[in-house]
Amino acid sequence: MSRPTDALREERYRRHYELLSQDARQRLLSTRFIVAGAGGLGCNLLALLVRVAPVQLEIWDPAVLDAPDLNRQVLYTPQDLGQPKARLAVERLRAINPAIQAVGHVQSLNASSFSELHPTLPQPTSPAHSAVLDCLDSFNARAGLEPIAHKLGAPIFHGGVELWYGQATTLLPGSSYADAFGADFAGKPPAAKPILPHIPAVIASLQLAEILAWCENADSTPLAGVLCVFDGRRHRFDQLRWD
Amino acid sequence: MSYVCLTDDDIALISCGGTDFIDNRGAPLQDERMTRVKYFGPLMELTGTDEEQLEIAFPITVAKLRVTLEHYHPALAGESFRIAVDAVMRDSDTTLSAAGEIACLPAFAGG
Repeated sequence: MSRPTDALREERYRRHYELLSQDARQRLLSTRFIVAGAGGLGCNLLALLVRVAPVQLEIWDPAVLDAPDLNRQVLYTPQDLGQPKARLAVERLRAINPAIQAVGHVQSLNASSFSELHPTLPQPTSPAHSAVLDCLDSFNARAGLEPIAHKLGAPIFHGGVELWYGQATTLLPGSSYADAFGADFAGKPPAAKPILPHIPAVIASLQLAEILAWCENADSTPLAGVLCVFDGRRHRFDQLRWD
Repeated sequence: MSYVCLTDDDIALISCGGTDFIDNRGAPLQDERMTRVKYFGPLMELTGTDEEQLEIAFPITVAKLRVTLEHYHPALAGESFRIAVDAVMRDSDTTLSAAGEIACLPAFAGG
């Protein structure tokens, strides 16, 4: 579903309109962003993304808001405790930009749940493009994203955070988590619980930068095949190739 | 393991616990026997350093290199991390024919 790029001529986009090419504007508006996880990374990334354009979002998260989430999940307040984050996120993002098209799913995103919602792909009314935003909290859950991205021919914009550290990379169609993280990636241990709020903020910003780079050129982004590692204690970035 | 150079006015000290070879002008001194190894994330806490020079015999597979690193730092045993050489990730069955800068990276799972 193509949308006129006139949607980006509104006053609210004036500060960045000229920084994006016509192709990038078109891709931003014609892409369905499938968001896995509305936690620390998801909140930061989405709060920025909806400011760039009136995007189309599908937000998947099975969890309800817990008090410890409030240190970094910037879309939520203490009044939201106990409520499903996917629905809260849609509500808050619509408040930031009422022109977005957003739907929340209070369940985990995997091939089975995605197929139930989208039994036949592509549909005539489907967006021209799809992109998967990996804001999940375990590599086991990430294994469930690959079949969806593969089916859609979509890139995966990955972020991961833990303690004082984080990483971002982009999996263009044809590459996999095993390429980036090793064949045993799905068995990697779950994240240690401690996390500071600036870590997901930095990594989500890198994810947004990658999304914008992909909108400019879908065949190559700075972090396609490259792992960018952030040390939030020493304020240091390193890049390592995995492709 | 440590080395001391015996000239009066030149080179100072050296050890393999995270200190570079330093000459009297403060510049790093290269030793072909030594390989630079960097640690990321929690591995820095486990090894007590973010970077060090270790003596590693090449050629060596990445899997054997990992065993060697665990020999220097037993706390690495059982930890999940990948190894990169000269900023390129390597699979465990890759044979490294010559020394390069080695990096040990855990993956951060959380969101």
